[in-house]
Amino acid sequence: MVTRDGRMGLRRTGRPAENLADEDLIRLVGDGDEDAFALLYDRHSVAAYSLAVRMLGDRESAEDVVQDAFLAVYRSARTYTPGRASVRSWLLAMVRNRGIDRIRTARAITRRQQRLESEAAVAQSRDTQAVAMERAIGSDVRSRLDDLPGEQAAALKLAYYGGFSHSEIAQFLEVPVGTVKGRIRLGLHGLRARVGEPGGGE
Amino acid sequence: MNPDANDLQDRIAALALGIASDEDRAMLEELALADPSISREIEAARAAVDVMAHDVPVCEPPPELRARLLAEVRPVASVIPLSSARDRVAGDPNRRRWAWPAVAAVLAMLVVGLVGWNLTLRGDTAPGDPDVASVAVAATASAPGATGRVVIVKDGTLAVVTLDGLPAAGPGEGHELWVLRAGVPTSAGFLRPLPGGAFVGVATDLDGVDQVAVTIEPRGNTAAPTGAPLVAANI
Repeated sequence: MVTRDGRMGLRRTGRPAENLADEDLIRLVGDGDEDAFALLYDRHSVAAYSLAVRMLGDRESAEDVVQDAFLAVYRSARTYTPGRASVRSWLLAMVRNRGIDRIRTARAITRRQQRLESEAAVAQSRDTQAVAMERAIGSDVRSRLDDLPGEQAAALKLAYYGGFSHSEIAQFLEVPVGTVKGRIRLGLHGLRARVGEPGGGE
Repeated sequence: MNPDANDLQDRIAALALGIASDEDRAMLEELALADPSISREIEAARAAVDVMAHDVPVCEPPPELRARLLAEVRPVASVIPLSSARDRVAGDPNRRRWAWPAVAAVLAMLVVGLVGWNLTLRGDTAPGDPDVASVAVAATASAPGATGRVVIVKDGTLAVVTLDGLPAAGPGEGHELWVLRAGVPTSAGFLRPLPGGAFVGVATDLDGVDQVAVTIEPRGNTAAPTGAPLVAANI
């Protein structure tokens, strides 16, 4: 495999590829090693895709987001700093950020439609917002978040999976912004108690 | 600003969830640098939020996604041997030299404006347009910070390349766009700088073209690339 530096990559490391840690692979990816990149994809694509589907609700958009995130990993592998976050967390943060960008773009378009179109469109776009909110909250699979009080879990899900701000969540749940902040704070505290302190989560 | 304990926790939670304001983000980063306990709080909040990334129903990505992704990163390696293509080109006296008549230049300027404006309006929505495809470029080690896209009109008449983060060309040099047919490069002219440091180029007549690449070349060179590829894309 020829890398971006014209050097040989993964197959020349002398170690079985599956024994390489993510941090080793990301270094090779930084040198343009496609095999290392493919291996990283194989390790983390299910988690990345699952998160994207959860956030966006449709598989086509999720594919785009995952593709963009992995390409960003490929291009910025050299900027990865071990110790700040695991490679997996770094990648999933990229997936999540891109998912949020996409959700917010869709919302911005909806708002623009609100301004430009008729009353019927306004009603429809409100429905769109509500659907996005419900998608962020809802899931058929029981999760660790469901061990939290329902209102805390809902606020956390809206913030994390939907990228909604405090004030947007307050509007949707029809509670004061301060209440939303409190629910998120307590919910996160509860999650922390369940996963332990840093390093004990996975 | 000296937020009280709950207020600080609210802001840390928002930071970890990615919904903090830019102002809060900057404030917390500053506080974390000065106070290790705040840094630890932020780390703990992020670790808790990380759980949410995994707390989702498992979905298998389609196999095509892997293939598509690897195809997107492949141009970096496959365009590297431009020198061998150059040798082949040098030995081919019948190769058609790219001409850039004044009419085409004017047309290109118009197209750049129109397509660029259209894309700006639509954001990154080219994949949903049946007539237009959009491909991300892959940066090489010669331009690790380069990013950009190739937007291709699917009838093969036009490709618009927009790039950011290219290394500066020296005096008397420019960024030259190449289209490759089975590895044989043909110049599509020099990129034009845009305000803000970006560059744009237009290639027409894409018949048989499977890759595009950009190199730094002396102005006036349209024969064959002499510089290392900075970016490349399969189209």
